[in-house]
This record gives sequence, structure tokens and C-alpha cells, in this order.
Amino acid sequence: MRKPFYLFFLTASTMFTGGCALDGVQAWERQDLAKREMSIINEPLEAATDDHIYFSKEASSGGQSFGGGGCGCN
Amino acid sequence: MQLKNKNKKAISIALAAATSSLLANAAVGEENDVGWEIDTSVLYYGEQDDRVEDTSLALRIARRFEDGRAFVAGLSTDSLTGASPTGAVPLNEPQTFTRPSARGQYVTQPGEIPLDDSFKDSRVAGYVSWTQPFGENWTANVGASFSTEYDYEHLGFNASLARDFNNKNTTVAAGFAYAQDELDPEGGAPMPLSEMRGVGDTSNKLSGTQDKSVTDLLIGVTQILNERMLLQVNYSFSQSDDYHNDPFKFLTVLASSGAPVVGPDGLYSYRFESRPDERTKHSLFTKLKTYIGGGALDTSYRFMTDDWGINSHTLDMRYRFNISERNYIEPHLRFYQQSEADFYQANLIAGDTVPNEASADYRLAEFTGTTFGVKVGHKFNNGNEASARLEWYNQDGTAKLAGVPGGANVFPELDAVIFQVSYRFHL
Amino acid sequence: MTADFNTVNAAPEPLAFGSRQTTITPKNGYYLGEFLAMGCPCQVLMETDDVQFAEHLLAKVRDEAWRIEARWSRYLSTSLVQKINHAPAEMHALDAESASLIDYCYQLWRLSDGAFDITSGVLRQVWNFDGGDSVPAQAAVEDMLQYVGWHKVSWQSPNLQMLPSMQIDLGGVGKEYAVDLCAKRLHEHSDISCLVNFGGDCAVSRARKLAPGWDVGIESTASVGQVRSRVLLQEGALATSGNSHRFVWHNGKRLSHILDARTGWPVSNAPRSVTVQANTCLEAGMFATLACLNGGTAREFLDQSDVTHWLQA
Repeated sequence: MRKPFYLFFLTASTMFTGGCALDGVQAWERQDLAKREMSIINEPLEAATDDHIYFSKEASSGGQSFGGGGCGCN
Repeated sequence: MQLKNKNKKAISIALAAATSSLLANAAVGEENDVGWEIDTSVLYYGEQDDRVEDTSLALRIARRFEDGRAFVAGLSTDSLTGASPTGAVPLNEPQTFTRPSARGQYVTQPGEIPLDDSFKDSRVAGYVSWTQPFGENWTANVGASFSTEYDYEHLGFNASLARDFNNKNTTVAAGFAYAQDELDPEGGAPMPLSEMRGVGDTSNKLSGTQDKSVTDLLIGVTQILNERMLLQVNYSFSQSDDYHNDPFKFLTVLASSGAPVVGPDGLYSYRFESRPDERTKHSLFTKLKTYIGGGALDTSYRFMTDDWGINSHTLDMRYRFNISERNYIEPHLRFYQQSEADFYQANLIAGDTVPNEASADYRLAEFTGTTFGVKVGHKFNNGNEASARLEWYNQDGTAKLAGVPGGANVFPELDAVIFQVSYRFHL
Repeated sequence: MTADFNTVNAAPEPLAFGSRQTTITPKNGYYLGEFLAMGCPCQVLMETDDVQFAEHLLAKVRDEAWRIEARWSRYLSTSLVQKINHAPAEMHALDAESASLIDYCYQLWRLSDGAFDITSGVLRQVWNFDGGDSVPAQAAVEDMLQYVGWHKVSWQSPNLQMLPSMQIDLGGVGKEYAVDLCAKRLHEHSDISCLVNFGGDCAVSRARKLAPGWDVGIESTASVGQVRSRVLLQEGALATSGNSHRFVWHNGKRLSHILDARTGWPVSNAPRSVTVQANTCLEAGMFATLACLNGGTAREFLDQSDVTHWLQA
């Protein structure tokens, strides 16, 4: 019944990932930015995991996307 | 021929510009036909000394359509066991505590940090989101989330709007989220600052459910700095109202000699915590992604300040080094530091006026969290990807007994291991 | 043009589109993948010794080439180009990528003062470049010219509307576009060096690690398969305009198959072949085409610009 700790998908974990549309820099120069690992949140599942671990263990949350919540652990 | 009258270099420049614009536009389309992307993961999180253990299964499905619309949904389950610090301080004698349900008791041995071992829970959480572009440069996103567990329910929704500028080198986004949480602990939530009672005594319990609402606002800018550098800066504001207490956390009341004080029903005296009924937070988050040395370096820093008196700094760095075309290794370092909340105190002193707000929850104390870990990943022929990461997380801080001789530090140091295996595939 | 001496010639006529065979062959220091698309043999040279990875990359390139072909080839009934050509006078709202391609062609039309025109394909109905000496009557050419000319087209991106009986043909840019997109895909999906060669137009995805570059031969117009020059290509692209096998004789002059959309006649005294090196295959190919449209002054045109080129008169 107690739950000091949960994993929770950030409500908006994907919401700003689309922000880095890579259409601006010259096409031939943009290749490195177009790699998946260069997107703002390249591993959404892992990012959500981390966000929730630290949400439940520390007094700060969010910042990059919406700040977690939805669990009785804090 | 008329062409010979033109400046040939100007033609070559015009051609290069037109070509680059054509290929850039084509790049938008090319991301589109990946079908369903499915992410799965299994996580084990375990703390030392049989404290909290969690096994979590997570699934995320995403589909990006030709025209930029996107659907994302996720589902996760957690199953938790173990014990967690209650806020009570270790004593030189055995301590008996009544379980939060008031249906039983447990004993902590002399010198040991009191841990409540009575939880065992499972939780299911999910979310959906939809992204919709409008015209050339606008993108809207709406989403909803829920979670459910034995005594906690959460429902939230969010919406955001992003606008691309500067040939899509700059994106400005603004978002809004609202969540309503409802807590209904077994036997009722304790009255703030009431003393712990014996088994079966529910006279200090509140009736009904305890609610909390959270409103978040976020504005952010993402800027492509050059062909291998990307910067994001976000400001976020969060306002939460009503019930913020953890109904399972309390403070030990000590005599000024440092000895425990006898309370109701033959127990020592412990008072349930009391937090303010609102909290306002401001965060500034910046992230720099750099492609360097054949790999992606991800560096982020967050400053958070709130009206509880907590300031925190978070620095996170990871570098994905490509060992070969298919394999990568990614070291990760994270450093976190927070100051204590104004109302944080490790204990209460008998005879002193009981403050309106007090908590001995170590998560509101001053502490430093350090994470280091490493991840390895492998990409398969068909574009699928498997990865595993192993990380260590340590917390060490200051929770000094106040108003007693010695002022010992009773911060419950934490060592945890995080192990996660993930697999991504496409349908 | 040949690439690493696996001689590839631009096929004079479109091949049958039925062939969907893909082959992969180990070579000295790289894998060679081959398939057919857009009426020509297509090659991908991949600097790796991992055959599975090479197959993975080859599949990506092949799918991209076939996608482009299916969408814009005038020979395929599924294509957008055929859809437009079947109802030229209707308003067609194009998707973003097609609109970008049309915009690109529009800019080429402006840069060439109207000589390059994607509506000029109907002129092929009266011209026959089989090496003989029969030219159409001027009246026949003028009859066709009423259906030619981008200025007659209503183009408000993404809406396209033409006059009845007009047609468009993206053959002039499609192959180069495909080469560039494939090279880009390879760059994004791997860190190895690849050379994409579609019927003699080629681009490198990134620099070779184990060799100073890809050894590309420029084919002699005099003799098929004979290498005239060699280029060590470490980045960028090469493309050739002109076809030494497609011409017609008229009044003792050899007329190349490159038509000037303004006159409806072939460009006279055009070089047999112009090869240009540039950052992208599109730039190389289009620059070569613009040079050829200059006819007898193509050499001057090339010399005055600062592009690296090979001209065969």
C-alpha cells in the first residue's frame, strides 16, 4: 500500500521532441543533426524512466517537459 | 545562346541554393515512412538493505504519418516491494510503530533507521498523445495520461503549440498541463501533526480522499546552432494546490536530552508531517546536443527554485560513442544537489511549540545525488535496436538532529542500482 | 561513366521495369550492390566487409530509388506524372515533395531563360534521335510548340494546372534527385563510405576510410566502356549530360538530343558529353545540362564558371 517509488510515463515526454525539425541548415550539412541520437529526446522510454526515478527520490522534477506527478510517491 | 550573357558563377550559386532547398524538403518526407515504432523495456530498480525494489515493464508505440501528424501511446506496470525511511530517527532502543492502516505494528531494532516495510503495490500508468501540424510552421499537440494503483489515482491532460521560425532552425513552443490526483490511503490519511496512535485507533484520521491539482506551464526555444549543434532552453512554471503530504511520513519527538518521549498508547511520540497546501516552482532547463568525435554528446542543466525554499541544480551528461556501425557505448554522469525545504527538520523537540509545517522526509533535506552508469546498444540489420544499461545512484545529505546534544546526522544514505534492458522494433 | 571499373553505361533506352532483382557481390575492399531503377542499372558501392549490413543499406537505397520511380516516372501508370498528364487541364494539388520538385524545375527554367522546360517532352513525338538524318518539318515542330512552355502553366505551389494536351516529364532531374536522396539516406544510416551510381550519375555518402576515394572513370564518347579520365571521388558528386548515341544529322551538323524548349529544335553544336563535379548530383547534372544548352559555347560557359568539368566535343 505504500509507494515511495514508481515509474511513470511523463505525460508530455514526447511533446517537445518534434521541436527540432531539421529542415533549416543546408541539406548537405545537416546530416549529423538528422541522426536519431541527435534529437532532443532520443530515447523517450529511458527518459521517462529516469524522470520518474528522480521524481520519486528528489524534490525537483520536470524542466524539459511537464513535471511528472501522478503518483503517490512524492 | 542567351545563357552566355549570364554570370556563370551566379548560376552556380543559384543552382546550389535551389538544390539544397529541394533536398532539405525531401528530408521531411523521408522520416515519415517508418511505420509503427515500438519501444519495450524491462527495468529493475533496487536499493540497498532491502529498501525499495521495483520491477517495471514499459511499452511505447509511436506512429509518424506522412504529413507530420503523429500518434504516441504508452503503458507501463510497476510492482513494488521493500521498505522506505519514514522520517523517524534511529534510537538506542527498539521502536514500535503502528502501521499506517492502524491494523498492525512493526518494530525497528536499536540503531537502525526506521523503515516502513508494509508496502507492496502494483501500478498501471498510460498516456496517449496526438501531434497535428497546421500549415507550414505550426504544430499542435494534445495528450492525456492516467495512472491507477491501490490508493492513488491520477488523471491529466496537456496541450501545446509550437511554431517554427527562421527556415525551421528555430522552434518556439508553449504548453499547458493540468492534473488531478486523488489519494485514498487505507484507514484514512493522518491529520497533519497529529501523534501516532495505537492499533485500531483511527481518531487522528481524516475522512474521505485527499486531492491535489497541478497546473504546469512551459515555454521553450529549440535552436539549431550549426550543422552539429542544437540548443534547447525551457522555462517552466508549476503550481500545485491542496494535499501535498506523504501520509506515511512522520517526525520523532525528542526530549532536549536526545531521549525519546513517550506518546499515546505506549508508543514513543511521533507526529505526522505537515506540508504547505500549495507549492510554486520555477525551472530553467537547458540542453545542448553536440555531434562530436563521431558521437552525440548530450549535456543538460536544470535550475529549480520553489516557494518551499528548495533550490536545486541538476547536471546531466551522456556521450554516445559509436564503437562500430552497429554498436555503441554510452557513459552517463548525473549530478544533483538540493537545499532543504524551509520546514524540513529531522525531529521535533518536546515542549517546543509545534510548528504549522514540518517534515522529516529526507527528500526535502539537503542532499547530493550522484549517478554514474553505462549503456551499450546494438543495431540490427533490420533497423531494430537492443540496449542495456546499468547505473548506480547514490544519495548522501545532511539531516542533523536539532535541539539535542551532538546533533547527529541521520540522513538515510541511499545506494541504488538501475538495470534496464530495452528493445526497439518496427511494424 | 564507370565506377571503380565496374563499367556501367547509361542505358540508351529505358529498360523493362519488371525486373526487381537485387544482387550483392563482394569486391576488393567493398560490397557492390546492383538493381534496376529508372530505366538504368543502379549500383551502390559500400566500404564494409559485413555482408548483412551491406544488404541492409542496399535495401534502403533500392527502396528509395523505387519509391522515386513509382512516384514520378512518366512511364509508370501509378505515377503522379501520369496522373497529371492524363488530365493536364485540371487543377492538381501536389504533395510537399512533388511541389518542391516542380519548384526546382521552375527555377531551372528561369536560370536557363526557358531553354530547360519540363513541358518539352511532347516534342519527342516529332523528333527521332536514332543517328539518321530525318528532321521534322518546321510546321510540325511549331504545331507541337503550342503545348510547350512553362509560362503557359499555372503554378501556385502546390497547385498545378496546365493547358489541354500539355505534359510534364521530370526525367531531366529525377535520376540525379534519386542519387542525392540515396546518398543522404546512406549518410544518415551508416558511418561507412558508399558510392551511389545510377546510370553514370553518382554521389558519395561520406569519405572513405580505407582508401583515398572512389575511383570513378568517365567514359569516352568515342568508344563504349573505354575510360577517358579517372576521378578519385572522396566527397560530392559527378553527373554527365549528353549522350553520344542519340543524335540526328541535319545539313551536315550533328544535332544532339537535347532540345531547346523555346525553339523546339535540338541545340546545335552541343558537346557530345559534359561531366561536372559538384557537391550534389543535382547540381552537377543540372550544371552539365545548362552547359549543353549553350551548344557551341558550352566550353566557354564551363570555363567561366568555377566548376570542375570534363567536356567531350
